[in-house]
Amino acid sequence: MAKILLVDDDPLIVRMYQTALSYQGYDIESAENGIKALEKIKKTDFDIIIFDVMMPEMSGLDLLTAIKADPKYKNIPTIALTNLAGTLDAEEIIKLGANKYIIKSEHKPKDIVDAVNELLKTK
Amino acid sequence: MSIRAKTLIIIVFTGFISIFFLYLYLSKSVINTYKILETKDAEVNVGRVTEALGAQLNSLESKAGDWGTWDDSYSFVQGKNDAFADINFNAIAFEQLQVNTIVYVHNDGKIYYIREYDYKIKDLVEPNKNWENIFSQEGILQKDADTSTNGIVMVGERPVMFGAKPILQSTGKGPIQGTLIMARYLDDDMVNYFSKIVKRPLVVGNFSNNKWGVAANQNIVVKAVDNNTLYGYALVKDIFGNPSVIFRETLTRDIYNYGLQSLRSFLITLSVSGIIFVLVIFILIEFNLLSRLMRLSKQVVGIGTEKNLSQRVGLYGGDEIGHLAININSTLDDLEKLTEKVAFESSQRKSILETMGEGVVVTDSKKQIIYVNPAFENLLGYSAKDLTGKIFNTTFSAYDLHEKALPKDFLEDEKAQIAKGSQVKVLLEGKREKRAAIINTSPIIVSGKKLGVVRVFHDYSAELELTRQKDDFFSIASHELRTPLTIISGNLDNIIQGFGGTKLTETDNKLMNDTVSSSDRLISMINDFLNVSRLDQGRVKLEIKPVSACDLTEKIISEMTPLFKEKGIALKLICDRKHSEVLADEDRLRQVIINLIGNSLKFTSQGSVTISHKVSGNMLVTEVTDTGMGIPKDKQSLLFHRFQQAMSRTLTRQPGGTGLGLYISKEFVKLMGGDMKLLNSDPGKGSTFEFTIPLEKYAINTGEDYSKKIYN
Repeated sequence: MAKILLVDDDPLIVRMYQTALSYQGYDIESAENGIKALEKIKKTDFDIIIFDVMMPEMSGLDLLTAIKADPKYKNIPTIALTNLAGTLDAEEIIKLGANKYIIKSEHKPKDIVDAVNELLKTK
Repeated sequence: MSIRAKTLIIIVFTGFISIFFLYLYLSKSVINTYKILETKDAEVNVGRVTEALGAQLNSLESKAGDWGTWDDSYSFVQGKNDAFADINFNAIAFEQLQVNTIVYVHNDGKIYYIREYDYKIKDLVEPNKNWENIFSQEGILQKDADTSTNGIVMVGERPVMFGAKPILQSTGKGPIQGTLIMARYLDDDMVNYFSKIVKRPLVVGNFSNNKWGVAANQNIVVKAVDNNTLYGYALVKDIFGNPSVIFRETLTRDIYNYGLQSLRSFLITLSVSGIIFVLVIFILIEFNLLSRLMRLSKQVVGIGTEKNLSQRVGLYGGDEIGHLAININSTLDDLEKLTEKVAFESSQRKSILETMGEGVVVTDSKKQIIYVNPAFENLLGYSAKDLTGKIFNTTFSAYDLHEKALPKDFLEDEKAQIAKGSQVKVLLEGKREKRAAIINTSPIIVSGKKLGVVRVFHDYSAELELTRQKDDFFSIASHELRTPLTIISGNLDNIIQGFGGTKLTETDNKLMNDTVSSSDRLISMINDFLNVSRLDQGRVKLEIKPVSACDLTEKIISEMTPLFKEKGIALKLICDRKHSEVLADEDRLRQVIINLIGNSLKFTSQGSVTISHKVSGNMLVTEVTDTGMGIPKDKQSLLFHRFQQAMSRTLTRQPGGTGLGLYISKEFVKLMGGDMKLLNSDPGKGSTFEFTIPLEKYAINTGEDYSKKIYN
């Protein structure tokens, strides 16, 4: 089954999305910031990386930039999570290489599941 | 120069000039008159010389007559009486006769007998040879019995007076035997004799050696030698009509000198009376005019320098100067009253300016600060002393409320703010910190000319700080509230979906769904608050690009159709796809359309909601019409205000919401370059809302003034 890396500094958010995705049978690993996430990416081959944009230590944007800069990982599909529409340029995130971006407060965990399913289908 | 000095100078000058010209004229004409008189007198005197000469000549002629008309002479000239000459023409006879020469001439002009006597040596002398040539000319020899002649003849170089008579018998009968000539030299003795007669010095000279410059055609000439002496010349012609001798008589210039003397005394009289005239005129002007004018001037100047308007001018008289004094006093009355009034008003104004809470700055036409009140000093921390004379707009840096520096000329007098007389809200750089102020500006215009500008500054810093704190609170609170609510909502949905592994009962499911939708409403409210807060702080970033309004609306309608079906309300779209391309931020436009359709759905219980797009000018006009409950007239004005829901208090709990939707929608539309309004609304029949967005082909770049920073 596909392996998913879920990066968010809020453990409650992590658990919420993990619950929905695990139910679908996905293999979930989590990290609390960009640095930890990069360490995990080096050890394991993930099929999808889901990351929060706003995080301490290393933000989601820096993480995305780091992934896209490395030829080994740049083809891994990514989904960006944000807090509120309009404040962050969605186009900019897509330009940086994210496959999708989801506003957390306006979507349910099952929307993430749908997004993941869709991305894996097209992969 | 004082008016007194000027007057004196003018009068003295005029007097002097008049006397000068009068004198000039008189001296010419009077002296000329005297000169004419003098000449006339001289001519008369000189005439006397010729008269005396004439008398002498007549006497010579009569002597010649006595001797010529005599039988002895008659026979003597016939050569019959030779003894006659020796008896009669001896020295004694000459002394008696008082002649120099006696000549008997025959009718053929030949001298028969000639004898000459010299009175100096008192003896007979050799006769002058030149007599021989005299008689060849006509004039002296007598041809008729009853004629005789006398005159002057030049014998050689010597002028001779003579009388001539024909030689006849004692009875006076002829025939004429010749002519007898009695002659006397016009010598010094004769001149002295004439001089004695005319009682003036006399000199004679030959015309041939004319040393006095007398012309041949002048009989009498008068020439002035000096101021005391005058020469009168008399030209005497000889018997042949040729100029022979000139008498020069020396005359004294008494008449001329009398003239000069009377002219002098006239001048003195004229000068004295002129000085008296000038003095009298000046004294009259001085007393009637000058002294009073000086006094008036002194008093007015005194009042001016002492600035004591309670003083009055003391000067009387019924003339113009008296009237002037009265008028000055009445003007002073008015001025005193006016000054008191102005002083009161100025002190009143000063008190108002100094006690008012608002800062006041007055600039003059050169944009220099001329007044600053204490409230303004407090506002920015600069003292009036520091600011006076400085140019207002270059002294203070202005920023907009987001601390973005405004153009250097923003506070310029000529800026539109003044013309409009409207207010601007700015941050001003103070001595210690930036202060927020609302500036009201008003030009000072006097008879159409702008003399300066008055600016009133309302200190707005505290209000701005409060607004900021409120915005910060909203921002933080919204953010912090949203995350837990997202988790509540998400996890409830996880449970509903059964992702936790539990299957819920139908009742549990309904309860869970209610909880999720409440939680979602809460999130959307918080999002509204955050949007408002960001709008207020100008932190909304738009992403303007071409958007097809038709496509976007169709998408929205397809998403919302289930909700309409649920309420049994029709949802219609009128759109011309070819003309629906606008320049907008798609997400914001979607939010606006959803808000308007959602509102219509909320307040409509039956009928339809219609959304239409049409082109008008360079804008796309979008109308959303419903057949709902409508909005009462008195609530319509509140529609686009914050936290206002026209129906919230009048209705049952039914619709609900934050009351921020329309406010946010309108602000978004405005940011995109359009506007929004309620087109019409009838209670019970429905409402139509309208908003505009610029069409793509009339690209207007909006939102440029807003920060491009990314906020979260």
